[in-house]
Amino acid sequence: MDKQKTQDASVFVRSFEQQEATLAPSVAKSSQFVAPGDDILSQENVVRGHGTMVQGTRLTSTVAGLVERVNKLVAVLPIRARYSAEVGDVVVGRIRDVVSRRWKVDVNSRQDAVLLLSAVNLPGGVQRRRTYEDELKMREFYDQDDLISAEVQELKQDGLIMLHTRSLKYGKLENGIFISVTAQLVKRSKKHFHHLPCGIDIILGNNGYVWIYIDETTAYAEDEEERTFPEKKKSAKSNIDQTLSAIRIRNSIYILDLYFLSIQPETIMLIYEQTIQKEIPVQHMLRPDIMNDIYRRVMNTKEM
Amino acid sequence: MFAVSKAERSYLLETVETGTRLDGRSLYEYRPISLQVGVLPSASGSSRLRLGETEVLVGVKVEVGETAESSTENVHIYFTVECSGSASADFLGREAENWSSELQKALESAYSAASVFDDERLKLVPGKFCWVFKVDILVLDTGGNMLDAIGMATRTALSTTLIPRVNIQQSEGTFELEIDDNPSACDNLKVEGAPIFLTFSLIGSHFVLDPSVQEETCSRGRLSVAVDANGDICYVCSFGLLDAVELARLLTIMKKTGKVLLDRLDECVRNGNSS
Amino acid sequence: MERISQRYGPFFEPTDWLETKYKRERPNNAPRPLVLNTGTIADAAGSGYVELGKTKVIVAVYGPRPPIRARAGVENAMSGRITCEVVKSSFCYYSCESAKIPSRGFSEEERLLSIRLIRVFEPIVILDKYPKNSIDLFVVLLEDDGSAMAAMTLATSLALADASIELLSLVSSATVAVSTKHEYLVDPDRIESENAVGLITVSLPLHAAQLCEIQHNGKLSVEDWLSTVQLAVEVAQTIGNSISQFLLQESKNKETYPLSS
Repeated sequence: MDKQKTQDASVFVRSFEQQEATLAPSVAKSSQFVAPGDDILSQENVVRGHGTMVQGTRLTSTVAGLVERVNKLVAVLPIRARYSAEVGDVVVGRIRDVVSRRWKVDVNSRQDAVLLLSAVNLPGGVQRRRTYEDELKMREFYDQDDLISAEVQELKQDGLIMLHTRSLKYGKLENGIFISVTAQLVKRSKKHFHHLPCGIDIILGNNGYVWIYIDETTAYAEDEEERTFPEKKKSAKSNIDQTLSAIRIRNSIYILDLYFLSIQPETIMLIYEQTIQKEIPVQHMLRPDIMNDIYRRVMNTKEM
Repeated sequence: MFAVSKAERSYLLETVETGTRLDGRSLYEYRPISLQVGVLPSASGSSRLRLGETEVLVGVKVEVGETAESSTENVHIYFTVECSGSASADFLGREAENWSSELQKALESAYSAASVFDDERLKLVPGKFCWVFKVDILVLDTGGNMLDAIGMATRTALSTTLIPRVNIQQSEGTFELEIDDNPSACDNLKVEGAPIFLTFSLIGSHFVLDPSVQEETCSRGRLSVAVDANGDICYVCSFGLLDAVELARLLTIMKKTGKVLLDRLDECVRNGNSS
Repeated sequence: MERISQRYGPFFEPTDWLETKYKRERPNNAPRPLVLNTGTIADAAGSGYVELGKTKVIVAVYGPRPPIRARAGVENAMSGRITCEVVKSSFCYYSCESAKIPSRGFSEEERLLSIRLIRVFEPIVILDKYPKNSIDLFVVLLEDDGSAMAAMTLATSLALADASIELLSLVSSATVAVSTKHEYLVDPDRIESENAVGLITVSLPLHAAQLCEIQHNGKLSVEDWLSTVQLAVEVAQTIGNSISQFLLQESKNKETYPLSS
């Protein structure tokens, strides 16, 4: 009987129709939605911002999104768009290419961001000019396809994003899971490195790239050199539990992204707790009926 | 090109080592499947299937065609797989062609090996006329394991295909076919024998069923098998270094999962039709 | 082609004649005579020639060399890559079929064979040793009388070894057909392959209990399938041993030449 059950659980089929009425927008009701070409109602002499355009005497929108007014500035924030960087943003990026004295980093933006060799910390934290040897060793620091966390240092005139990793908290990402979400769902905040109550750490990149990891470095000195060689001496048992919580967090974030809900530690934990409470095994979390159920429950218990 | 860093790869390997995968599934578990039939009004049978992030649309068109005298088949079946550029950045130029000819080849082999259309009712005039089924497959979204999704969608599309009744009149050695164009006088195509595909990816030293894109990128090899309802093997394609001793174990898993999968698909189609 | 309104012939139909009277002239478990040669093409870095009965394949390896055509998009160039072009010569086709092949470019079948060959050799060639390089395989199928993929794999294996490209192991390959009478026919020819209920091609590295490729067409039960694979593996092992024997002989011969001259 038990065997039969597990075997059955390996396949889940359902028809498409049951899902429909799920994507209810969860945005505040008072705000104004516009489609491209729609008039934006406004008083005289406003300052027009991004996503707007003057056609004759009318002020119209050029993107689908929410009208945002700050004093005289009128702008339209697109609902889904590629990430547009601001100085100081914490991002998670993927190295796309290693070229002379710089890395090209994919940050889900319009163009690849640039991380200069001079904008990274050298191993051991020494301060010196970058030598030719450093240049040769660039692939040892960050190789192609590696994930890194970084901060936006500067925006050039043409929109080029310059990154830096000159802090111990930034650098190569290891021992974790990557998931990409809609960038707009991650709000700018003071803190982007979070230690969740369930013992999992996450980095919520402003660009919509999220890194879920198990921080093993806390036990070691916060030194770059040691960080690159994390020893794995944990007992297998705790490892599995941690991995399962990390996956549960990943799936919670996936659900938040699917239902277009704001992604913050609080909301993630809300979904997480809900699934624990309902005793939903982690492999069933992504089943459409269960996701819908979780969503309903969460929306009922708390106004998000 | 889907990118995976070394760290992600090793974490994936470690996790698979413990018997789970990065989306929480166990090693031999399929992602949730969503299914809809009768989506294309212009086709005789159609289905839309979503397997995790992979989505495909299948339409079957039924025609009557002339056949070579030596042929004894009731049905000529043609597959076209279109990997649209909108589905994935990998589907550009040559790459898309390679994908579609590979998928097409797999479907053709599997369907020609499995005796799907042995139904007496499908017999027209042997050596003169036969049914021509054109199966058009469009890949809408790619999230790994396209072959399995396409196999399942094709089978369900065929199972909902309506075949018009044909009246054959013979006069002086020539045959006249009278096709009943009343939609209510159509027969449902029987496809109990149609195979589905099951794909394993080899990650580290473990095999995982129904790989996601990330798992496909990290895999050392792949094993795709087409099985029919009896558990017979209709097509196999594998590459990468596989351990020969594992084959027997994998095939048992496939046989078992394939059966469950077929039952669930049929059940879903039945429920969809009745409601 | 459009100018010909009516086509007569082909006047000789070899297959029809053979199908009724066909009889396998060797034991079911014996492969056809194998002819091996290396260094057939002087211009290439390495080349291999294989004859399996009437199936004849010639393979030339060019490289490792810088890629002629860079693939679009950024890609990790820290390991090399293999390209492959398979050409089926017009002698592979019977008269009526050859009308269908495209006069230019590659047919679908050729493209699929190329993909398969690349997949067989990708885990075998130690690509990490050839960063930013491309190893180009050019395969000409001179005549196809069944088991072409196996012959191509053998010839490519020879050619790569001849080009001294670093390999994990030699690759061997064999085809087994299951006939309608449920006989296992090792190394089937064209007619046997066409009439088989199951046709399995297995490629494997000689020095590991692993398989590089399995391709199966036709319908078999799981048990039959496994035993057929088992048989194919055994045959491939013996063929592989003769290949390595041949290579050893060749390199011994080569070693003695400079001393004697």
